[in-house]
Amino acid sequence: MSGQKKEFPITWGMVIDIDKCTGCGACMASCQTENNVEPQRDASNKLRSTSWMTVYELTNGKSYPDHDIAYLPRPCQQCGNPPCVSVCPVIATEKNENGGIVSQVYPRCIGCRYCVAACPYHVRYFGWFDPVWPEGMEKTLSPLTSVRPRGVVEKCSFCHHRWTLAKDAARAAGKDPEDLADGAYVTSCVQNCPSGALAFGDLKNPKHKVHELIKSPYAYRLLERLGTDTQVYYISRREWVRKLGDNYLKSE
Amino acid sequence: MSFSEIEKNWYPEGVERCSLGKFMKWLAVLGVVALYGFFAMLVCFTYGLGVTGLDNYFGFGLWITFDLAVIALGAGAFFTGLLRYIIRIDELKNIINLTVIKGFICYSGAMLILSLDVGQPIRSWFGYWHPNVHSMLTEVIFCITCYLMVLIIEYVPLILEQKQINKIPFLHNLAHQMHVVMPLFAGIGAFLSTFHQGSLGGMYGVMFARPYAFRDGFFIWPWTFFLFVLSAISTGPCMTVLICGFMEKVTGRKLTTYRIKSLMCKIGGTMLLIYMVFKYLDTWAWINDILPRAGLTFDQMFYGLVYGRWLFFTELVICLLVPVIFLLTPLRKKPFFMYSGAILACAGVVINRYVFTVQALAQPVLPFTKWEIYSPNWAEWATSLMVIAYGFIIMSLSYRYLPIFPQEVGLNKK
Amino acid sequence: MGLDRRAFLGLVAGGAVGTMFTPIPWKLIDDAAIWTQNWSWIPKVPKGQIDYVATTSKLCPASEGLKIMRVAGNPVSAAGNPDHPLSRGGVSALARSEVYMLYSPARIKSPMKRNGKTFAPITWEQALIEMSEKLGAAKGSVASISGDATGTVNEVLTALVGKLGSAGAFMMPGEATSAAKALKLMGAQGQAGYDFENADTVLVLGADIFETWGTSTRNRKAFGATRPAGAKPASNYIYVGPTRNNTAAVCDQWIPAAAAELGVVAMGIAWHLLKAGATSNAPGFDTFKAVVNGGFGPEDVKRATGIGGDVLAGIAKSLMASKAALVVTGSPFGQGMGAAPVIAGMSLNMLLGRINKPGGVYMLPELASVVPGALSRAAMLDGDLPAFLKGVASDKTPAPKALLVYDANPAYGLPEAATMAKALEKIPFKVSFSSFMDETAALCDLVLPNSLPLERYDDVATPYGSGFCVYSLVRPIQKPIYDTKTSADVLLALARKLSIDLKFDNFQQVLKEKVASLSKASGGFVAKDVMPWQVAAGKPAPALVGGDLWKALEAGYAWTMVGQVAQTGMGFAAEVVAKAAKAGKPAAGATLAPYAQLRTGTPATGIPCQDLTTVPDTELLGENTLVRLNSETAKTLGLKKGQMVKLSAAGVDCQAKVHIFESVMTGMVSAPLGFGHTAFDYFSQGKGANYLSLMAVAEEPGSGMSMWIASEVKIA
Repeated sequence: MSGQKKEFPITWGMVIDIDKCTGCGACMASCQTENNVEPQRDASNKLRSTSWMTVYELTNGKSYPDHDIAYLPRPCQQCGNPPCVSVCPVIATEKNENGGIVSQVYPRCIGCRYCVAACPYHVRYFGWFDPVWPEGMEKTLSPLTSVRPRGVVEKCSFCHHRWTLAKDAARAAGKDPEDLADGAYVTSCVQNCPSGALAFGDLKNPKHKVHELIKSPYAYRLLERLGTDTQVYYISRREWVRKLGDNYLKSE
Repeated sequence: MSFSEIEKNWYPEGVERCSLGKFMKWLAVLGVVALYGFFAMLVCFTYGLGVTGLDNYFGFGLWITFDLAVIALGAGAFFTGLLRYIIRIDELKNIINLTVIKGFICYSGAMLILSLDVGQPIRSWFGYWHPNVHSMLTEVIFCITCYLMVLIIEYVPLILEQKQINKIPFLHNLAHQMHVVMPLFAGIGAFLSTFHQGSLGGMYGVMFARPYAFRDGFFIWPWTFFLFVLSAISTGPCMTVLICGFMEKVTGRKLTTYRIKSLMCKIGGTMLLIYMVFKYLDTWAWINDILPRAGLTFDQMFYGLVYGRWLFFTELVICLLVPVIFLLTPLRKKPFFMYSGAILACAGVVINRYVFTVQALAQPVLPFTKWEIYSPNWAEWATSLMVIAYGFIIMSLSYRYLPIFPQEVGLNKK
Repeated sequence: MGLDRRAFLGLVAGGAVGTMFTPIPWKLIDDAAIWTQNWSWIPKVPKGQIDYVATTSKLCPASEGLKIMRVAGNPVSAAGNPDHPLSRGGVSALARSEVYMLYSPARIKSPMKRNGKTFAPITWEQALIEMSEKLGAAKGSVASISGDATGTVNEVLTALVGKLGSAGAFMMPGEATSAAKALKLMGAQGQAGYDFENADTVLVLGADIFETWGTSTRNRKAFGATRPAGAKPASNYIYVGPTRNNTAAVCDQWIPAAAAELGVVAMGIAWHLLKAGATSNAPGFDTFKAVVNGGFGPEDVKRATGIGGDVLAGIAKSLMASKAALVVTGSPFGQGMGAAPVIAGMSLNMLLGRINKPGGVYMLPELASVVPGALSRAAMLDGDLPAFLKGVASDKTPAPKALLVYDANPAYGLPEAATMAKALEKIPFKVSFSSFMDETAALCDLVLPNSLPLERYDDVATPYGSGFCVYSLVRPIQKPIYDTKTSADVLLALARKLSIDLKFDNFQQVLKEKVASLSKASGGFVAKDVMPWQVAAGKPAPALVGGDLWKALEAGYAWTMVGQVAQTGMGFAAEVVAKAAKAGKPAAGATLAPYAQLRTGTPATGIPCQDLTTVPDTELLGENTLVRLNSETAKTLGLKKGQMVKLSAAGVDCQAKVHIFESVMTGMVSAPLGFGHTAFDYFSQGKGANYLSLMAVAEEPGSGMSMWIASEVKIA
């Protein structure tokens, strides 16, 4: 198995409470605009549209009235052992910096899409065309995220720019930028979720809420058995939801 | 003297060729196909890859399948070179030139498609500038570009041997000197080529989060590394024979002896047998170890018609076991079986590259996602056809003007 | 000595080789990375000082407080304002889009006048002259429709229309309409407010409380607060409705029931409560008891709704066992519900003793109006727009001579679209004050673009559903981008031109007066450290800090007040329910059960462009919208997954693709609203069908109000 697990003193992670997600899409809308993703005219082609954060609809597969549904928001899982990083021929994606966020260097990416193929979570998106905003709307672009030309791969960065802002703010306030308070740095989706289904923080920092949340008996991760060791955790009290987080043989 | 008379002086010594008019018509047909593909290529470069049928599920599609298949089938060049110059199977000199040209066509064509397939072609040399030594694709970029240069070096003396060019003393000597050092290049070529055939397979084998493609392996190389090498060197010679046979059919002239072709097929068949043993072992381990480890079953790897189980059986039985029998038993003496065996072997490697490229990506790993269908569109087909047309053009010109087949004159004496 | 050819070539070659040893070519090559990243046609991100300013969302009916990020003074994104009680940091997909809507291609860029089939731009001066002439001539017969359910602009609009001689000043119908009617029939005063924050058992009858019903962002924040991740929930939510919609998806229990039978379900629960000894001394209790016992016993309800007596008994039990039970009634798609189900639901609250109690229903007072001659909100909600337009269409009601449409899109957002369009056609002079080229604006004679909320002063006063009185300010964060004006200012200018005295010269004065009136109200405070629900739960309300309330509101804080209107004679109104809540006949084809979501915008906004990505492909696929039915229904109707079908009702046909979805009641077709626009821009236009147009309007027995909660559709 290629790729090696690196340890970081700060490990940013997200905990998503599926039992609280109503599937409204506010996280997706927040992400789109925070990260300068162009508005897409035919966004119904899900294989072509770009949505760093995507809400999946899960079902228990039963018929009415025993049917149940759940919504699963899926950002980049920021794997501890990312399948995408080791395959990149030009080191355009890395997991090196403290915090354990898998970076994507747009000016380095040659657009070979090998990382897209390697990622089982479908978090990587390719720029099929140059991005176009309706006239004037480019004035609303976020100054914190670059606009990608076509032909490169992009993905969720845990709103990395917000970490930089938070560190700056901590320095300005005379605090330790390497020991941010819980909530000083959260992603756009986490910030705006109306249900409070998303939590964010340093998984290794006992002062951060997520540190405890991931120990919940209801916490699980997606495709754990593949060894990706993700930094995004999900919580559901429903067993069928948890079971959909991975593949299981009938005997299991 | 008319042009068509002058043109006759360019043919290799002692051979007959079809009329210039007929040849031009043939080229024109190929040219139309190539131009259409060229147009598609311009469209891709101008508007971006959104004009293709690729998407965020199928970042790899027809182009990558095409590249991998072409590179595998083009493997005859390095392997035959290895046998001819290093292992010194002298007889192969009668077909070596053809394999070199085939190799050149396949690799240069693949490079063309690759430059289309990357989203930022202007940055495609970043593989050298910012190489990630852990990536199989970096190895592929290295080896393919280097090997293409080797192929050019191998192809150039063939061009220099053209009757008129060869009259220039400097070029004549150059060609001679190049022939002298050819074993060296054959060696380098064999090394480079083995590695990138392997790393192409390795590319899939290392995708540990894609259970369809993932394989354990030896040291840093997943088993697919070795399987791709083996499948390439077994089908490469078969492809050479098929091209040779096809050219004989089209030109109506004998170009090599049946004995040479049979030898090539025997070599291919032998390698295919070795490949088959390993492929079967690998498949067994995949079904019984890798898939259960990922919580998946063999049944879950197939879906509908395009991803159906028939592909699996076609690849592993009809296109592997059957050609081994055809090529390694006395059946080979009969042209029908020899050619069928070669065709099946080549088809098998194409299916193999297709399923590793497309089916591996279509197979839903997340339990709440579903199988997605990929269908290449006109832009991908047109450019792929362009490369095929380009290959036909190069081969036609080479055949008409270069002394490729040493046996041609002797075999066609009236 | 000249430079011969050889030397020249040598120089060139030497130079070339030499250059390779300098960093120049390598640097240039490496720069390719940068310039391939910065093609001239790729937009550049704005540069400049970043700051944050607060305002309130006006496009989103959930009325969240917003924090707008600006770069060099230009707004770039909207987030929830953590200090605002209706947001607490949360934001809907629609409110998030406020900034981008500034540049929506559907925006109307200047005043326009109809010229045959097209529009020609005119100046504001011309527009005012034109309007004053036409309205002067139409005196005595001017009607208005407002799509703003919370703004003081309604006071300006209705005062003006009143003084011109009103033919009706209407509000676009919504949840507030049926709730207001219900309270009126029950003899109650005030606006129903639901204290989710302090409730522990919530029975939701139909209302999509986490998506379209009332203050949905606040509702979700309240829900989330009682649901610590990974731990035992501190609340119990039960949803009753035709589909497991976004609300039901997170509720503890989903009880399938047709939207038309929700009143029956409520009465069925009442039967169990009464049996367990629940009582009330409110007027009409005896009649209520008789009605419930007479027709809503477990067997009756089972026959009508298919819900077993044990299920209802279970609900009654958990309601009675909880400390703070709350029953919320509403339409699964945010409109069309009659008064009877709301009365029935409210009766449960009364039986449980939950009126004006923490975690129950508060009867909130309406904030004092400031424009003389304006209609109160209650009076506006009493108007029945669909009935009025139906009357106009069938010539039963004389068509008004002029119609002013403010922030509303009745041509799209009303049921029975064909009838409504016919009625609008009969009105000779129509003016639209829309910001976007919507379906109604496209029908109007004059289109006078309203500046968007980020470009104007406006306000939000106690949106329906809020558990407390709340007032927040909308303020301009940037100058109008196009030649647009605040419509309230235009109306005031028009009044001046028509020599009508509305007391104010501009809208900002109106708002200042409104805010001044708030500071006089007793019990009001600015929600900062103490939130209104904490006050409801017993925490002392902070005093309204001296100093400037206006400034605090501009800073994004909300004025709130926990209090209720003293009730005189709020009764059960069981006779209304008795007439209305009857088991419907089983539909021959299928029953349409629409659902609405904020991500597809409102009729007045269209689909916000960035939100299109959030719409799943099980709702919109290419140009087709999908309708959901369970496999049993599909089998009965002979439909297959992915099949294109035609839904017909109310004389209208709609295309749809079939999506098999098991969380829909058998016999129901669940259809998304918000699609099928013929106006707006390429993000809204030509995407699917408007299934609201299939809903037929009927008169609710007992209340006489228009309702369109269910519609039988033919599917072929």
